[in-house]
Amino acid sequence: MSYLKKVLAITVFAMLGGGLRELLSLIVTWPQHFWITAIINITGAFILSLITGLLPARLSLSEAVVTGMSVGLVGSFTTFSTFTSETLQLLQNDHSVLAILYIGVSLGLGLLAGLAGNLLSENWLSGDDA
Amino acid sequence: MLTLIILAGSGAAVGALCRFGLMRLAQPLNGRWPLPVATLFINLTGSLLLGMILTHHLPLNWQVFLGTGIMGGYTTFSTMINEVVLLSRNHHRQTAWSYLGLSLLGGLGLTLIGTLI
Repeated sequence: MSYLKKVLAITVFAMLGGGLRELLSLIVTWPQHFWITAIINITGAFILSLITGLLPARLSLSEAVVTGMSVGLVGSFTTFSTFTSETLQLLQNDHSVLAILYIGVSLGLGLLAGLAGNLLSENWLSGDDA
Repeated sequence: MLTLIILAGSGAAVGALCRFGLMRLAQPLNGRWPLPVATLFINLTGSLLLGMILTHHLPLNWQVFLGTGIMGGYTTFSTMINEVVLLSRNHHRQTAWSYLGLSLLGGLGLTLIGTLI
């Protein structure tokens, strides 16, 4: 039963996450369109660390909703395969500097965002104990 | 525009459920290696499959459903980043960097192979 609830929550939340990613990608008309993927991935990395670290402790959400939000919503909002395929396209079109910049920004800021969310969750939670 | 969003969303649901299923299957492996093998497997296979999808120049609706939707929802950037952060904060710094390197280089290589198949 709890398994079924999780599957249902993931389905609904993943539709929102994937739909939102497509919406942003359609709205944005930048010449270097791939930067929207970087923004999505960096934001998602930050939000996921908050969802897994802070949300369950602060709000009494059911396990199914938390799974839906982490695995479904943010998991589907961010994407690894588009990141690698866009990088490959840049490399194949002789934009190697841009490709390295794209990798550096996505991974560098992504890691910083994930770390920030992680530390933030930890601080807020330890503040509760005091 | 709405059609494309719905196609991407429903594809993403299929992809996310596949990812969830694989993660559950791989649960017994979790304690065995510090390396998050499930996410690595998912992101590498997803990169290969997206390469294959892109190279076929499908009609836009199919490309959005299969590529943006299913593969976009199946693979995940945020989980990988958070695993790297946690590994590195839990004194597995070398594993964290290997994991990041394997994901990136493996992902790029497999996307390339996908476009050649």
